[in-house]
Amino acid sequence: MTLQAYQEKAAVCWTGCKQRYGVFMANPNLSGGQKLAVHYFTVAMVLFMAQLLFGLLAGLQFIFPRFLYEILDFNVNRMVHINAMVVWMLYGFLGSVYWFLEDESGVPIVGLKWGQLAFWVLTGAVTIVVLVYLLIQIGSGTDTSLWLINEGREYIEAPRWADIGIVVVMLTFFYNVAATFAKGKWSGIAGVLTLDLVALAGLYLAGMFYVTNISVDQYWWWWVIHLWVEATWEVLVGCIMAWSLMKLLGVRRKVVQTWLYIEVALMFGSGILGLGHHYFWIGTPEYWFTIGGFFSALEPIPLVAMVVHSIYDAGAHRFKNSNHPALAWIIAHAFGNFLGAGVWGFMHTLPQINLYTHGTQWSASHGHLAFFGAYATINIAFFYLAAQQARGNVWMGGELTNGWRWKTAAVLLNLGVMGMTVALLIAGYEQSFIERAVEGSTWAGYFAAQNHPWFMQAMIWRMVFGLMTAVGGGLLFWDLLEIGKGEQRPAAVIENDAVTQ
Amino acid sequence: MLIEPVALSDFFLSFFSAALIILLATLYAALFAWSKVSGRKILTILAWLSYAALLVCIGVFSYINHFNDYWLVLSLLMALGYGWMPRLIWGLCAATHDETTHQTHQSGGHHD
Repeated sequence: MTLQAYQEKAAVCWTGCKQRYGVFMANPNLSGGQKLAVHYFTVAMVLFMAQLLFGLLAGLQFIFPRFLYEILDFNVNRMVHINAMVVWMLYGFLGSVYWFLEDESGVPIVGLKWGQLAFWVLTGAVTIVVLVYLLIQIGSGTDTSLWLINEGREYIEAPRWADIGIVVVMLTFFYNVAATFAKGKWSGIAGVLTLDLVALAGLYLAGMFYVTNISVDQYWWWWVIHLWVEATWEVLVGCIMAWSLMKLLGVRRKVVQTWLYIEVALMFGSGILGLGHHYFWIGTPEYWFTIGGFFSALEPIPLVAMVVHSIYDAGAHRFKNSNHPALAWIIAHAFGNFLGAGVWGFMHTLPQINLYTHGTQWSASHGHLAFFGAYATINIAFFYLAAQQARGNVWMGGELTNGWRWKTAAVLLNLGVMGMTVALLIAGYEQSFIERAVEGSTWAGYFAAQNHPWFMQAMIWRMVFGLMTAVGGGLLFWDLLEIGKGEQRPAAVIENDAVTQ
Repeated sequence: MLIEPVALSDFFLSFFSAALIILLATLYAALFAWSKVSGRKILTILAWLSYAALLVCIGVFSYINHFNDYWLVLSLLMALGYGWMPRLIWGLCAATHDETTHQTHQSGGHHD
């Protein structure tokens, strides 16, 4: 094919995309905020696919160490894998808030144009950052590289120009949310959400300055990593979940808001000082053993509380709902969060055992299930709520056309992540035992553990389940593009009977 | 050092008992709530059995993790906290769901 033929094909494709985009923007079923939300959801799904792809590449490099060596190194694949995960979660959260903002406040979003601009700026910045990660993989660390290429902090490697951009976008988002609620109606959800966004934007600043002392650097870096994930993200998801439960199950606002306050108290009460479990081995004082140990032991309490409440409600609701795929993912959220964050977290959180497990595949095992269970699932549930509304609030109950697709995607994704978690747990156990306890954390111990048959077999099983997850992810993407198309039946009407009789 | 790490021979037991603490605490909470919903005596008995097993696990966990001095307070907190928490949450559930009003919904919750 000649260059001209390629250009013509690209022009046809571009025109088709523009037409489809025009049709989407004219969708009468969506408000301005919801259209912006769909933008965020779309990029979130693309980044989810990128996370899966780079995860597969990194997983393959454990089995075939020379695979893509010096072309796309393991550290780069791992970095893009984790960064894509963090960013698609954020895109999902931002989109979810834009989705319900107008419904919750009762007025159109204030400063929507700024919100739209912020979306394109953020998406452009994410694209450039990823391209720079891929194109400039090796080099010395200088002030210039810190500003333009890579800040060097694990999980938040984005260069400083992008950091500043992220804070500006978060402030724009905060303005949209606070100004819209100020103009419209305030509610318990609105209050918790607005205050949480202050913390979300503010905490990111803690990861943006450079110090030469590695202990001090790590001390502040954990403020971003832990306090984002185990405090502000949890509360943000609590707000999203609160609105979703009203939408999906018809739960009364008073009940939802009361429990949101209780959750905030439990999350902040245990999560803020639970930060201490990251301060065991970075050169901080020994009192962090006690603080970290005690408050980490409290962190599963909200999860146990959730079980009591769900049984209480299930006795009355019997899971009558208007969107089966969304409810299935919310149930996956409850189990995934409990197992990933609760069980897998507590198994290795106290310093007496964490001495051996920190930084091994044990952490990766916990991370995979906890992030999937606590955050990916709730985002996916929200994507299904959005798909339902975008197609005219259509039926998404039983006997759905091509219903096999969402069910298969859910089974593959949940089994795949659970399988990876168990495989990584075996690898982590072996590393803790051989590398840390027997060999005393020496280089020889590190390589002995990496070459041990248990570790290598675990990595092969992780790859198998990783492929299963990737297939499930692809199926999910396809389903979200197709579900509800051509459906004529209206969404089910749910009668609220949340009171146990 | 303020802590004494787990012995090599106790690795598995440490992980296993930690996982069981959370799982049994949840099982106890679930059985307790279910017994309240259904009113079946057998569920109450099973809930107490789960709690007894939970206490054993806390004991094993504390022993092999060499808990002493104020670390024993953590054992006590887990034993009392996981026993009391389901009752507290149940009480809160009953208190927050005490209205008998019904609502019909399709497009989301409504402001009170």
